[in-house]
Amino acid sequence: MFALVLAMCMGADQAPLRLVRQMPTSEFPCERVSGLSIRGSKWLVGGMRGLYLGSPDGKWKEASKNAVRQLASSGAEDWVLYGNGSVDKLDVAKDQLVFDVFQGAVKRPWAASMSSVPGGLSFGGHGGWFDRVSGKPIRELYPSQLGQREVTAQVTLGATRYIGTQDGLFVFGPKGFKRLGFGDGFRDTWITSIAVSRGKVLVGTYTGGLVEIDGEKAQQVDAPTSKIRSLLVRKNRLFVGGLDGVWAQRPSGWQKIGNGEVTCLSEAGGELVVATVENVSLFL
Amino acid sequence: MKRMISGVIVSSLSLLASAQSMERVYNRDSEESFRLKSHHTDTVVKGPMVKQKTLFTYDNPFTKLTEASYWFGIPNPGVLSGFGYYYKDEFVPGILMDKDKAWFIYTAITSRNEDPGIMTQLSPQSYHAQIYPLAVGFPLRVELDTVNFLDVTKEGLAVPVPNVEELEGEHDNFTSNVVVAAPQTVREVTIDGKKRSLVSNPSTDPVWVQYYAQKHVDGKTYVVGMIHTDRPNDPYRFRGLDHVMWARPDNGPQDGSVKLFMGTRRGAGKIELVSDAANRTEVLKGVIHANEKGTDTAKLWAHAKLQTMGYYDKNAVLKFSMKYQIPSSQTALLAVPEAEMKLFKAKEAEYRRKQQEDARRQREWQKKQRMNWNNSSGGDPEIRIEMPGAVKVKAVLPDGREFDLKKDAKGFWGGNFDIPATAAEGDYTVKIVGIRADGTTFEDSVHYTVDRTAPTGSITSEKGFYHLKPSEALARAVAVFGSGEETNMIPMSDGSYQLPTTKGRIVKVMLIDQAHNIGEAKCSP
Repeated sequence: MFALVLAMCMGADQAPLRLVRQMPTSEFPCERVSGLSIRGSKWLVGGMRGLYLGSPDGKWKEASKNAVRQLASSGAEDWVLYGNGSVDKLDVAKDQLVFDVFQGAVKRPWAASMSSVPGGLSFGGHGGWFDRVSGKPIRELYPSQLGQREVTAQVTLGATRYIGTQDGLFVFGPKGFKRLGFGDGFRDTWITSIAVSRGKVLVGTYTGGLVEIDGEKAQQVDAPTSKIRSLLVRKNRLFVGGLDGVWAQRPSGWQKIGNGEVTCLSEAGGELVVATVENVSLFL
Repeated sequence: MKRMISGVIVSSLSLLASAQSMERVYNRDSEESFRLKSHHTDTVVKGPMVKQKTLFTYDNPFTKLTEASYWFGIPNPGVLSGFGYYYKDEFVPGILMDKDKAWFIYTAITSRNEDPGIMTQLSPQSYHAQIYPLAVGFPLRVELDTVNFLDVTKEGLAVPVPNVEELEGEHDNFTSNVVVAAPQTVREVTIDGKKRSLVSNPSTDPVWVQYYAQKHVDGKTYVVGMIHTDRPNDPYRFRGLDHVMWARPDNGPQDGSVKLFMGTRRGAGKIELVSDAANRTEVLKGVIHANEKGTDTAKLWAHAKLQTMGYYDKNAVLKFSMKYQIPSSQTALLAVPEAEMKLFKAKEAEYRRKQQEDARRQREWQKKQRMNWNNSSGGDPEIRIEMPGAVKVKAVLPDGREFDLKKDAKGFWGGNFDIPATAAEGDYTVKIVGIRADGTTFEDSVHYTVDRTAPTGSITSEKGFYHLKPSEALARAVAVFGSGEETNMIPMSDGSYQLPTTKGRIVKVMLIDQAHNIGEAKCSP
């Protein structure tokens, strides 16, 4: 019942999705595409075989051979998180690449995830996170409650920070700290993704579907797959990427917009990017 | 008792004197020699130190792309201070750099049939250069810069000359220009039928010391000198000079009557050379003014010092030789024509990036672990494997797809691959093929399991413990209490799990297997 109400609310200002481009992953030099940034005619693409700058007509320049885990844009800069945990920063327009941005800048200069926070990005790492927000010094936090856990995803809502790990959701708010796990309604405590939709925190789990955080409880909500790998809220619409496909939420239910395992769900150049092991699709 | 001694010893005899000893210069493809047309040396003498620049000019009869191979030696304790060649009429100086970097750039440029030259040190006294391709219609012209000491001959102190006896061509078409610093003087003589330049002795006494000092950019003063002694077997030591390196001249008497030294000190001041004879202590005194700046004396000292650094690691040797700008086992001199500088800079940047990539933090791996996940329901696990002797390694996936593995800074070969979400459950093998430099191959393998079946299990309570028996090996079992709290159950050696009942009333236990499939077990009433 809750899921239906949520969908209907979202439907009020949703425009239909329009597929503007689709390319098989074989046309990308990096195979499995885990991130895409579009800056004018230049594309920056990262995947299992490294990071490449070029154009979709096949002219690619290798920027790194390291496997890319995630790519995020912030202003004129693109941030690249590699599988080994290091982070590079690129300015595509200036063709500049800054290596290992956080080496020497923070205590633990490797990350497990990148997430948007107001004014910039936050990097989830080993037992904590560090924020890189425009105009402010880097702020790093390693709360004792996280112990040795890796931060897999995070989101900020008001003054509360929701931190995903492979061992539950950690909520740091004005009222204090709370860990949410199996005993609080999670079917799986491996948090893969977190998004905020209409003031609610939605949490994707590795095998336990989609969970909405309601106060200090986790409530299971309708999802097209139980194996969620990525969540995105764009123009008030929720997108869910899973091990078995990608879906867009519609007033009438879930619309499948990608087949196979999702490898990237993001926005680039004003378009929705849906990458799966099969292809990369751009939607308006 | 101390007394000053000065004098000149004349008992020692000279060996064959040479500044640079040319061994072989030939076309690398046909092995035909380049014939020497002429050679010219410009020499500056300061005290016992000789700084020389020699231009060797060879006929180039070859009309195809030719790679010149150039072998030569520099007698101890001399040091190579520069190398360059002429591309057509442009002089192209060699730039000293990390040997790996030089070869990376050289290979990249020669693959375009463009023309850099590269010189490497084979031993502290021998060098090899290759230049490719030579400009057709232009002679091969190579310039070598060296810093060394005056030769000690029976006729006196002689300016070294290049030894070209091993080369084909015109040995006698040699010109020389010698400049000496006052009060030294120079005169031309004939020794063994060859014209030589003799530099005046510093003293008419049988025993003397002559030295020259320069202040280096590092703030230290480097002093080099030569001692003539009538007591060749007695030890000498310095006061006022640190880190003293001693050498016997390759070109000079080998009985110890000529000793060469190189040392450092801070600023100006006195030095004393002390030796203990049977009934007396002899002291030779001098003053270092340290008012002349330069790098030549430092190069001589550093070259001698490098020969004692055999046990230093590669990076220390590289850093040391780069500081003093002298060749070592870890450096090469790369000469790139102006037309190729854009490419050179691009390749230099590429190499710098490659080094930075190599310096990245490596993923922390458990010992001997070859994959980061061995059990999966789908995804992109990473392989990490040692393949000793391989120059290239590829992985062959269960469906026949192949991809190349990349070698990391620790020597492991690695890369990610895709386990399709639709792959059937079961065990899989990835074949790893190593390719040696000679083209032969060898194989290894890594294994993984695709598992999408959630584990099951039953819980019983007896003797104050909850007992869990799972259907398969678990990664962990999480007990959830009525209060909502959780705790990990304790794994037993037989694969079961236990928890004291005093912890609370268990509502359920979450069973999590190696592939992160999750099952649930309810507690029996």
